[in-house]
Amino acid sequence: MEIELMNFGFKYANTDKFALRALDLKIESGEFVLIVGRSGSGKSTFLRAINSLIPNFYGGEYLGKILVGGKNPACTPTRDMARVVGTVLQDPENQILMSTVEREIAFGLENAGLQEETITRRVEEALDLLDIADIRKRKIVSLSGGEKQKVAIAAAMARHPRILVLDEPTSQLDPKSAESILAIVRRLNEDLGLTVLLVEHRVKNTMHLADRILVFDNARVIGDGEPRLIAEQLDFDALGIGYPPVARVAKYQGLRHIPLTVKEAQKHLHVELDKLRITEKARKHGKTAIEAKNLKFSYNKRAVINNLSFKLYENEVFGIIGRNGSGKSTLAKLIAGIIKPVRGKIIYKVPKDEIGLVFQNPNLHIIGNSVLEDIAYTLRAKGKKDVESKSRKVMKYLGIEHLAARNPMDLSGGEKLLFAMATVLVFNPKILILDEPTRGLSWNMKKKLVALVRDYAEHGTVILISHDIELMARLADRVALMSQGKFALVGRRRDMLTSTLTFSTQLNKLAQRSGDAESKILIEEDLGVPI
Amino acid sequence: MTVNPAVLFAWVLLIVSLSLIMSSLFAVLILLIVASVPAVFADLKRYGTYMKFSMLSALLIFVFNIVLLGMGSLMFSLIMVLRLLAITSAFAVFSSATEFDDIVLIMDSLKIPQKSVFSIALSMRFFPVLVGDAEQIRESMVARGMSFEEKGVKNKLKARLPILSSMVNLSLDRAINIAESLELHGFPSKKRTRWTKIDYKVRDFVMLALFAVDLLALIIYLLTYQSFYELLAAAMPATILGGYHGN
Repeated sequence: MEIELMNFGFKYANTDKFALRALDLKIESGEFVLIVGRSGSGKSTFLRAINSLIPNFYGGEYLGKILVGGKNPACTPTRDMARVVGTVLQDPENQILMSTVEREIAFGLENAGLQEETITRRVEEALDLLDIADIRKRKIVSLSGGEKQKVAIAAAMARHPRILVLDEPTSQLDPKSAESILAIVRRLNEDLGLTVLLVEHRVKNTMHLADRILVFDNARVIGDGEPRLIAEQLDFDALGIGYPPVARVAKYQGLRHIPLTVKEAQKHLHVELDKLRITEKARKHGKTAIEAKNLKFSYNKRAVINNLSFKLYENEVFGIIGRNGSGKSTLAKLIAGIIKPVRGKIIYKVPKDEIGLVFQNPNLHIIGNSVLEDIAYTLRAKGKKDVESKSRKVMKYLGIEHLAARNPMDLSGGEKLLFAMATVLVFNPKILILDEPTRGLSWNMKKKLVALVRDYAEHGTVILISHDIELMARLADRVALMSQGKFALVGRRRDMLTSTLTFSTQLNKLAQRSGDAESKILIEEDLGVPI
Repeated sequence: MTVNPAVLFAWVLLIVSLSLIMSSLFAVLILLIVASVPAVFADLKRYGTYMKFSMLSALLIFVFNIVLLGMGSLMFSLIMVLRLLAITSAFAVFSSATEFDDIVLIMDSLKIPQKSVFSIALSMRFFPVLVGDAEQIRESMVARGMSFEEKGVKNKLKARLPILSSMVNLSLDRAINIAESLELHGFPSKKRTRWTKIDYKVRDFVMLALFAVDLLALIIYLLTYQSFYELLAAAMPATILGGYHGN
């Protein structure tokens, strides 16, 4: 037995509630275990108990007993547990301590007291294992988020652990990097027989990889077993976890076998997709809100926005997709007036100071010590009156009035997004720009975001920048594909997000394989499946 | 040719020592040149970034000196500013030509306690990240209607205060993550070994010996000829030290 928890419970110091309670579990060597659950359900606490950060780093009330690779984490220093359990944390930036790739991999080995020759051998094998030998001399600051996560995995693997625990390793990454990381984790599990414990919100990309799923809710494990069986037994949508779209359709149809991928759905999902026809009326948009003419912007003489012209309209949700570095976030800053174009101009048909930008890192919106204080700050900066009542009104609109006195740093990922939106929506912008709003969000928060954006578009313009194709398919009236600082293509969502191999939703990919390549099916709602 | 970071570090120490001791304009000017020329072989962009801030501080110090002490302090102010630039230039050359991990190696080899070494190394490793944070926070505040184009030093500082507050929040969060990661990397460790060591060649020992001789000569000069404060007093106008000349 690799891991065994016996009536384990833990309560963090200075808190009232147990983060985990009465946990009895056994995990066999070589299992790939996916851990899901809404924010605060106990997932990260579980991982910390395995790698012994609990109780060595996080103190509190510790009940029951755990055995990991024959060691008791409660009596073993974390540095000794690190030889059994390799850990990869959520934030790619903050977990890497050294300045260059190979020295980061060697750092933990030096601390373990290994000899020079052994360290050299381990560094070389870790570089090969993760296929990152070409970046061995690179500085960490110059790496992408995906590359940093590979370095973090390499550093963990260099210590030859038996177990690899990963706490939302892809939450800060774009989908392509995320897929690359998950493929590596899968390979390590299959090739080396490594036991993997993976906490993830992206169920669409992970459920099919796992041998077993643990569903956490309210400090307990309420589901444990083969992912397809547990997905059938429990209501993942009600639990805030969500399903891959094909699984949601199957669940709605009451199927016993829940498919998780397009391939599985081809065998088991019996929807006569080719007979379905989508008749959707295009939403009417209002007058022009913004017109950009021949915009150009450069960083260090490198053109990031290149001769870009477009129009945005009132009551429109305009989606922007594209690779990392294609200029999406720079365009958002140009529209918001944070940076100025080196050439061309933006003609604003709405007041220029009524454009709000919600950054992809909600922490950037935190200034003060309370949610209310921070939201009010925006109004004060703009010299508005009735600051408190307006702040409370927007909190009520977003459903976060109960968080008014909380320190924003203590909020969960989803709560932080709503807080960041509140700091912007409080001045009622005519144009709302959301930059990667769903990164690291659970299903229930995504659902809430969809409802909020739809409501906001009734009286304003929303610019939505995201890699999340399912979100785009739900919200965007028009979608632009950005590439090399330009809109390579712009069109209605059903034209842009269908019949492509990469920018399609899971259901559309299924539809493409069902004999009607022209199918315009995008989302579950198109098949009458509510979300 | 790669530079031995330990030799470079010794060179920085020598420049700093000489800068503090030299009191003539000519000597300090020569020192500034000596401290700047090696930048050609380093990462010029990084060197430029460090020096941009140093030049601004130097300019401010110069102007303040003239305003507060009058034109009589012109020579003194000029020497002070050149001295500051020589010191910062030497550090900028060091930072631009070496990696922060090299500093760990040097301090490790000097048997400085691990925790002190890594406190310094980590603060340097995350310095560019903090600079990035500050810029992003400024942008987020501009997006919320805050203006940073205020006139006057007081207003400029007041406008930037929230950035500091936000950075403290982010840094505290980051500090917890880093501490967690250090723990998971098995740090601190009594049995820590060193994978990378500084590779000393004959020319490195020659250079180190030369620097050591220079430093020793200076120390002997100071002990036998004049005290540092006497030199300082000699370099300052009488009005500043109230006529103190070491008597």
